[in-house]
This record gives sequence, structure tokens and C-alpha cells, in this order.
Amino acid sequence: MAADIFSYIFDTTTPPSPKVPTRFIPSSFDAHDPALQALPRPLTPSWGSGELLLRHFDSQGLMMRTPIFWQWGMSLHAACRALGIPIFVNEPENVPVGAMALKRSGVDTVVTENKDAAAFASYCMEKSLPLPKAWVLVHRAQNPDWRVAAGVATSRVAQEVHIFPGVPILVQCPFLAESQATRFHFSKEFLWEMRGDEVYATARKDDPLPLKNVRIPLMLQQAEHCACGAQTVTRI
Amino acid sequence: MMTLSQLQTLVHKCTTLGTSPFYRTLYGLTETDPPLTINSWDSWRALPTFEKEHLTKVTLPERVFRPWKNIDTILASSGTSGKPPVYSSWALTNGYNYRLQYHNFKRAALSSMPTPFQQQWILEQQGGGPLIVLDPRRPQASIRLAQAAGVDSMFLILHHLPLIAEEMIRLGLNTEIRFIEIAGEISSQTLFKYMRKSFPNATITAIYGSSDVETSPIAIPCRPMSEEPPLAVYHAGEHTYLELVDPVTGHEVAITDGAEGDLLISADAGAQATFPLIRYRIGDMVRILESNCPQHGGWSFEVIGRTNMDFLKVPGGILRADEVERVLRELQLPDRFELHRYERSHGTGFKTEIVLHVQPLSGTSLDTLAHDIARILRVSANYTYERGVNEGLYLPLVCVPLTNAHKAGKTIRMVQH
Repeated sequence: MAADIFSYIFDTTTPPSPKVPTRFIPSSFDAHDPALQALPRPLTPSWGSGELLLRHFDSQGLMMRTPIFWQWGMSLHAACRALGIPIFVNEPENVPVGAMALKRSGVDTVVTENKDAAAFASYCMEKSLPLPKAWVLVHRAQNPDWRVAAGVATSRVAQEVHIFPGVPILVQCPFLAESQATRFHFSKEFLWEMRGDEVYATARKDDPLPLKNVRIPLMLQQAEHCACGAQTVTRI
Repeated sequence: MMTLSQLQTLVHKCTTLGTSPFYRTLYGLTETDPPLTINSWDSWRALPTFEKEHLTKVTLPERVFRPWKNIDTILASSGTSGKPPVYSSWALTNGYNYRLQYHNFKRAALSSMPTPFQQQWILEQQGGGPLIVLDPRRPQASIRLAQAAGVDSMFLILHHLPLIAEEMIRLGLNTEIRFIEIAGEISSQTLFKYMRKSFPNATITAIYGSSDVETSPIAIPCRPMSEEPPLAVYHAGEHTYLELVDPVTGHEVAITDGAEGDLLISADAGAQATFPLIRYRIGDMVRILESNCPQHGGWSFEVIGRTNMDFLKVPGGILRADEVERVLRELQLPDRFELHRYERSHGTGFKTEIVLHVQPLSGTSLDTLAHDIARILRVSANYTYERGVNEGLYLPLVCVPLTNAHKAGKTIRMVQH
């Protein structure tokens, strides 16, 4: 069996050495993970899947509530600039300022993790503050539970699955988001191949992380085609 | 510094119908009044000033200058006296070219400024390296990335520096740093000496900015910081016009060596501006150092403190006078106090120590009182002083009796050393 993406990265004694200028992101969602390494990513940040969703939601401003150390802000900002909407960075620990921002700053869409979204929505309801018009929820690939919390599902919700912080592997188009399904498309971050229920990723040509046919440790199965015309997958 | 002609254009733009109603409301213009025209310095100085309270009264969409797409980033800053936060809009502007005389920025930079996207954009314009954003609540993870990226410069909110210096020294990264720009508050001599010792190869400069001012830096450094006082000497940034007024009467203070006054800021980010400022009273007292700086022209100044010392920034949040009063009242104590903040050496680093002068009830142990206050004193909405002690940000709170010499009034009761 081919090495999976984690053993590929963490079993090497030195981090992959990029040959081109890069950005760096953490290899772990946990800032205190002793195995945390710096992963090289393409120098120009982008969040293509999010840009489509924000356009579809007609978002007027995006609030980032994912941890700052993920270094995902530059990618979110690039999507916001492409659409001509502002970004507001709200530390996950600072719920009151984020919740009040929905009322007073003009931002109406929140990107965060599922657990944080539930707590944030609960705070907004408790304080009689507006809920976000739309959410983009990030699931960690390793997390066994990708269900959307009840208090969150009352707004429009799109979901993504990230293998590393800010690296989506499974994304939703506007059709999937509107259907509130837990079906996904493969992201354009990598080239994908399914062999049975196993999934393999290969880096694109300009990716400084030289992945070639590394296994993603997720069991997936193909599902029906989406209204957008593309294949979808679900978790087994 | 902006010219009278530029200020005339600014006033006209800000009072034109169909833009933001903020200044038309402030100046009492009716729906049929034409835009204001100023034709002299006297008519400029007759314009009313405004303060943060004016910003908290309206939401950002109600006061922003359209089009909305010009807003790159929204920032939040704390309101005053328990008011909601102020949300400010920023267009992309670059007032940081002064940096290039000190460093080339070809390698990576680490930043804890609240505007990382602007900082990255500026680095791109200057052909610089990537930016690593410092997560002040998880600094070690950000430093690990900065090390991999080959960081050699930093843009930091001052109180974040002690959080990262120890870790950078441990990694041997401190000697790689060639440039540090600090902002956010006034550095003490003690803290500067610590910076100097921790980062021996760095040029250290200070800028003066505010999240309320989209053209920040409001002021750029006249020279790098050195142990020679004053530590931080500033000049007006290129998109700003600065004035001084008497904090009590509001009358103009003439620009002469040594003059002190309450700072008024006017600022315009140009065609992209989302909220230009006209005579904004930011609440900082400054002192003129040279009325005509021989090196840069114009006047140079230092910031000497808050006009109304009602809060102090500390790692993890803000200590507010009204919050201290609330806590004292909750403990059924008189709400007169004096709060002193110190930076104390601790191990190889620094920690914040708060000494609170209070009027304890007779028979009360000051140690017990300090413990009780720390337990309920909020530094931010969900963060107490006690939690900050437990997480290693602060030294335990110290209470001492408020002496008669301290009971004069409420005007100076939050002191930074």
C-alpha cells in the first residue's frame, strides 16, 4: 500500500524543501502539536471554492474565525478582493466582538469550524444578535463527525473538508451547499485518483509540496452527480 | 503633511450629498445645503472636532463612504466606557515606504499588526518576501513557520514582543532579525532595553497608528529607537494632517518646541478612501520635540499618554477604569483607585505586573483582596486577570493602600511605567 499523506510528511526527517518561493502553513490544526511542521504552499494565495460560494451567497463581508496561526487569512482575503468585499478577522476566543460585528460592521458571512459555529450561533441567539446570513464550515479530515450543528443549520451553510489547515480536499459547489448535503466534490488543490474506496492525491505542477500518488486516509465512495454536472463523493 | 488645498478638497468631498451622511450630520447641514467650502486656515480651524463616541453612535455601513468594494479590511477597536466596539473600514494604502531606508524585506516578515493583508500587499509592491501572521494566542506555532520561512523582519504590537522573544532566543532566531517595527503603545525604557538585548542585530523603529485611522501609520519614525530619550520620535505620515489643541478648552496650541496638546488627526486615503477623517480627536497627548526638524522638515513629536487615562492596553486585552470601578463596587469597596502597570523581568523574559492602589475596608488582608479582585477583573469579555496569571501573561495582582496623596481626583488613575 502506498504511504499516506501524513506518513509522507511526518516520517521525513526534514520538512520538504521547496525549490521555489513559497508561503508556509502549519501541518497541524493543533498549535501545540509537537509534530507541527511548516508545509510549503504556492506563493500566491487563493480560495477558489470559497470565492464561488461567497458570490452565490451574495456575501457583503466575510468574518474569519479560524485560528490565525493557520495562515489561511491570505487565501480568504484573496477571495474577498476578487469579489470586492471586506474581510474581518475575529479571533475565535473573542466571541462578543465577532457577534456584534454581524450587527454593526456589515459582514454577514462567517467561515469557521463546526464546533465554533455552534458556540458562536448560541451566543448570538442568547444576546438577540443576528445570525450570519451564511456559514462556510471547515471540517478536519481526521474528525470522525462532519455533521452540521442544529443552531447553525438555520442559515445557509456550505462545508469543506481540509487535510491541513487551509488546504481543502473536499469542497461544495453552490448546488451542494443549497441542498445541505454531506456530499462533496474533490477540490482543485490536487489531482485526484480513486482506487476502490481509497483516494490518492498528486500535486499540481506549480505546487512546492512534491506529492505524487500519496494516499489520503479517508474512505470515500462515489455518489450521484451534482446539479452542476460534476461527480460527488461521500464518506463511508 | 497635507496642505490647505488638500484639506479644502477633503472637506468638500466629505460634505457632498450622496456620500456618507456622517460629516453633514456632524456639521448640521440640511438636505438642501451645498457642500462646505473652506477658504482659509481660520475656516478650517472653525470646523468642529469629533471623538470616538461619535463613531460608536452609528454602524459602519451607516457612515462608510461608498463604494463598499473599496473596503479591504474591517478592524475592531474597543469602545469607550462600556460602549460597543468601533468597527473601522480600511482601503489598501501604503504609508510604509519609510521602511525601505532601513531594510530590504527580501526575506520573510512576521507580523502581529491588525492589518496583515495590507502588510502583505505592501511587501509584494516592494518585491519582498512572504508574511507570516503571528497568532498572539499561539505564538510558538507562528514562530515555527517564521523560522522555516527564513524571517528577518518583524512588525509587532509592542505587548506581543515579550510573548515571542524568549522562543526566538531559544531557537537562535533572534540574531537573524534585522528590522523590528513596533506599534500599539508607548515603550518603556525597560522594555526597550529588553528588545535591544534580545534582538541585538535589529534596527528598531516605532510607528504611531490606530485601527480607527485607515491611513495609518498616522506618523512615521523620525529616527530608529535608541536608549537616548525620547525613545520614539515621530513625523506626520504622508496622508495625514496633524494639529494640537488644549485638552480642556479645545483652543489651538501653537507649534513650538516643547508645546503639548491633544492631537487632532485629519486623514485621506484618496480616491479609495472609505472613511476620511476631519479633525478627529483620538485621545492622545503629544509633545512637540522640534517645531522644524532639520532632517525631515515639519514638526516632530512624541506621544506622552492618553488625554483621559481611562484604559491601559495589556497582553490579552485592555484594563479599563470603569471595569476596575465595577469590581471595587462589587466587592463593596469605595471605587476610587489608582492603577499602575509595570513590565517586570521574569526568567529570561517579561511579564506585566499590575499594582492597584485601593481603599480597603479595615481588617481586610490586601493579599486576599488582590486575589478577589483578580478573580473577577475582566481584561476582555471572557478573560479575567486571574486567568492571565494562570496562563503566564501577568504576575499576580498586588494591592496597596491608596494614600491621601492619591485621592485628588479621577483624572490620572491609570499609569504606565
